[in-house]
Amino acid sequence: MTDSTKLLSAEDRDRVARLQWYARQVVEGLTVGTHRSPHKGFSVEFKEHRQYVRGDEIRSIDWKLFGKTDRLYIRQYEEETNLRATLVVDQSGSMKYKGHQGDGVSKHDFAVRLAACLAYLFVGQHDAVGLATFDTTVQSYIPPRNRPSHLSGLLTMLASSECGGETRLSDVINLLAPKIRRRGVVILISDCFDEAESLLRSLSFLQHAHNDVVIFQVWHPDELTFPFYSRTQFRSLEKASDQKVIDPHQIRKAYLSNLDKYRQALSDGCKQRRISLIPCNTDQSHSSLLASFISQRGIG
Amino acid sequence: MGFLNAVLLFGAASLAVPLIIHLLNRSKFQVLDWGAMHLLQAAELQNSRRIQWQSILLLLIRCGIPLLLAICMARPILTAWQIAGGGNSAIAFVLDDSYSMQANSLQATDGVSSFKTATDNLNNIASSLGRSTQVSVITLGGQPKSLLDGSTFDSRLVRRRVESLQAEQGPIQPIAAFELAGRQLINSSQPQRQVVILSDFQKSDWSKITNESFVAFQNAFKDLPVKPRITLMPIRSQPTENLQATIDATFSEVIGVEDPLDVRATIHNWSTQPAKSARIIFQVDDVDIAAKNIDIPAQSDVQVLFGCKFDTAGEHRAVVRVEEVSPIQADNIAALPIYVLEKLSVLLVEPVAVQETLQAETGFLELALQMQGAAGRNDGWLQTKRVQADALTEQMVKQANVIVVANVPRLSDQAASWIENRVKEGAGLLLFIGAKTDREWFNQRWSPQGAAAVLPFRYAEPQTTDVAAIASAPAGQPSQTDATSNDTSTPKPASLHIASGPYNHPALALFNRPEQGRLDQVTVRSWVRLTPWSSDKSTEVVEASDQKSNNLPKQESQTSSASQTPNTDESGASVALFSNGDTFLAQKQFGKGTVVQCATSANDAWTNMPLRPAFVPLIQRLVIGMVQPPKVIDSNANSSESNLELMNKQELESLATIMGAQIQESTTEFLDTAKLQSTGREIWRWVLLALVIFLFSELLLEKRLTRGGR
Repeated sequence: MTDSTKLLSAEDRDRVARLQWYARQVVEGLTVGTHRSPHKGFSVEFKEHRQYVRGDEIRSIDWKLFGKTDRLYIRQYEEETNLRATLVVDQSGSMKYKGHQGDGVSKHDFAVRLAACLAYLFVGQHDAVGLATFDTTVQSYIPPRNRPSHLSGLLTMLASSECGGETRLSDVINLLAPKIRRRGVVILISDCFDEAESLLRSLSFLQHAHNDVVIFQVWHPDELTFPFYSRTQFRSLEKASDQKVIDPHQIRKAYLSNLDKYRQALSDGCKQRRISLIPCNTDQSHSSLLASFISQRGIG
Repeated sequence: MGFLNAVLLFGAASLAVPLIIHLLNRSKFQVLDWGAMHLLQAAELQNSRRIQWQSILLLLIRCGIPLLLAICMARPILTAWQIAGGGNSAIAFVLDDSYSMQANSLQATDGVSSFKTATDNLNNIASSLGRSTQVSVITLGGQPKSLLDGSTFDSRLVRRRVESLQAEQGPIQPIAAFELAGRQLINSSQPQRQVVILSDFQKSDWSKITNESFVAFQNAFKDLPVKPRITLMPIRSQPTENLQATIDATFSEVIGVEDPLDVRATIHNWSTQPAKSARIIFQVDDVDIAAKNIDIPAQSDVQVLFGCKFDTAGEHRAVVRVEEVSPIQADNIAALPIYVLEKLSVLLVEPVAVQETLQAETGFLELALQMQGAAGRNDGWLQTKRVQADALTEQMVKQANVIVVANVPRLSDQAASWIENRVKEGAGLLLFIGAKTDREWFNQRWSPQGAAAVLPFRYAEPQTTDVAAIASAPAGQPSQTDATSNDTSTPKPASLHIASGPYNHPALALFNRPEQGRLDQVTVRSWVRLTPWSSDKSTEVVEASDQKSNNLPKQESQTSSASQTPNTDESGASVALFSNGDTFLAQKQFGKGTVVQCATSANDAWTNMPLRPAFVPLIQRLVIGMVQPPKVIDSNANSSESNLELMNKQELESLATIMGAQIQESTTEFLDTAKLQSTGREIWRWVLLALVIFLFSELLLEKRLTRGGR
């Protein structure tokens, strides 16, 4: 278990505080914020005119237009609202890998720190942020809130998460989808070690619910380069009975080929569905990665 | 398919090493907890067959490397593959045709000699190797010679020539034979050359090749680009007894009609077993005269004495023969040539007629010649006639077989001319010096520049060791002053003797055995130095005469090769020397006759020689030897050849090591090896190439499997 106070370093806080996450889609929020809301209300941003019907407030009638056209029109304005972000963090067994030397940063550590930064970012923007952790199934879920005190709850939960179990990512997303009812942003932080096709299909459900889906796919450098030479027994981190003795040099080429195919399939699927897929590896700084991603994303 | 070093094939067992390493490596691995198992499983599924195939291939290659290395080092021969040019080779057979090869062969049926087995083996090899083999045959016994006058491809010619050979030669001369074989091989253009030695490897013959003579052996083949392959093919003879007969005589005997002659033969048993009742037969002119049965202990001698007489003058032959089933027939017979004369007339020419025999110059000579000799000749066979020099007639000279001139001052020209003519016709002339002899007359008359070159050597200054004689010496007498005037630094010996033997001259050979008389006990007080005629000439002439002396007839060369260093002239030669090196006796051929020149007197004036027991046989043999030149008895069956002790296995292997040869016991063994080496192709180069390919393949495959993914 990681100490929740150590999840966010001062440098991370400083760097994340200067970031601003804009929603790409129209999101539904409860308070006035920086994100567009599907609800029309009071705002400085004019949206459209519509014909007055009985029951409309008198004060919303555009009298100038009535003078010109002699008809009653209601003046409608764009209402800005806050963002509802849900962080979905993978804590399956495969996220426990921290390199063949065993002294590096595990993928789970990286994912937790990245999630903490994102939570800090959203809370700092007065956006609502929630958290779900999962392995085989959803292990914990905190609905989105925008109170500042909510952050400590999120961080505590992140810090207390532990890896184990197999990854059933598509199943987990199917379970989570009903819980995320309003439009918002779903940020998945995982190694996505599931079948790309079923994963993308599940993510489509979230999109249909008008959610903006962002995937941070966490890799360890060993998984990308397969730097093994001597005869090795590979034991699965998720399923203890699954183990193989292999001459790594004999399958390196095939492994890397499979890896490329898998990544390509996931990348293509995400592009097709307008899902943001951000590959990242544990060597990177999560705050820098976040800053880089947000700067590229811009204002939606 | 065969291997030259088949033992090295055991190295192929090392192919187990990569197998063991492979298995050990498979059981050793590191453990890693891994997340992306789905990617790993997919990759393994895709490549499992390829991985398995490559692993097996790598394992096979690794096992094949030590296997190929072992095969390569074993030098494989592919016999089924006839190389271009076939088995082109030149083969020099060195065939032992010494007497010892007459022994029965152990490898053949009874009655077949080792030589027959050797020639059969030679013919078999020559015919089996085919027409592409150039064959030469060198005989090893006696003086080595090439049987074929070169070499030939015709095995039938080889067979014809070899079958005409007999094992009748003396001890072998291996180095000379190898030199001849080397010359035969160097003339051959065939790529492969080999020498096959067919011999019984008799110990006495082959022990000559030792480590010391190894250099000479190497030099025999030094001109060849590659040393030929040498094969020793021992023809083993059956261990059997062998008796050898020899007659105790070095020269032929000269006797008179009805003179009794004792022939003494020695029978040697070379066997390690005693010979029981060996029958010894004595023949004269191919007629059996006598026979004796004797027992001869192992490796011992037994002497047998036979007596005979001849009733007709002329040349006869006495033979002692061992009648036995002896493996070597040649040494069973010993022959002695005998010359029988009707009578021998000796004319003794002296300066003045003296009635008392012992006062005369030729008195001692007459007594010696009339005395019954050791051979027991009849009185009257040797007739002597003393005559004063002035009373010499042509008739006397013509009737004489031998003319002895003792202390004669000079001869009349007529008498000298008669003597010259008679000697030319075949008579003997024996010259003794004395105080009265006019040396200058003889030196002028009978010098090479004179009327006839009768004198073997020039009469030089007289010498003496007798001081009293010097004081009373008239002119021309020996004087110490004269003797020492030329060489004052040389101390004069107190008494001068005739040098001790061994003597090579037939008349003196008797004295090689001290019991027959000792010449070296003869004391000489005065003598005349005999110097070669060539010493009067310039240095160049001396050198020329030395060169010519090398070309002297055989008999003269032999007589000149006494134990002392003899002086030789263009025609004369020293026969015996004094102990100070001066010549005692000199001899030369003049026409058909023989001239012997003595450096001292015939009576006791200058020497005590007439008073010594050796005088009688010396004079008798000198005189008889001048009538009929004795023949040297050539003992064909050399005693070393009669000793049939062969080299044992260790000695033969040691010999093979020295010669760098291999031993092949049989023709079949030789032909099998020859087939491997001449008709087969050594394929180790191809195996080596395969080995290199395997090594590179292993390297590439290893890199592909191990390093390929990096």
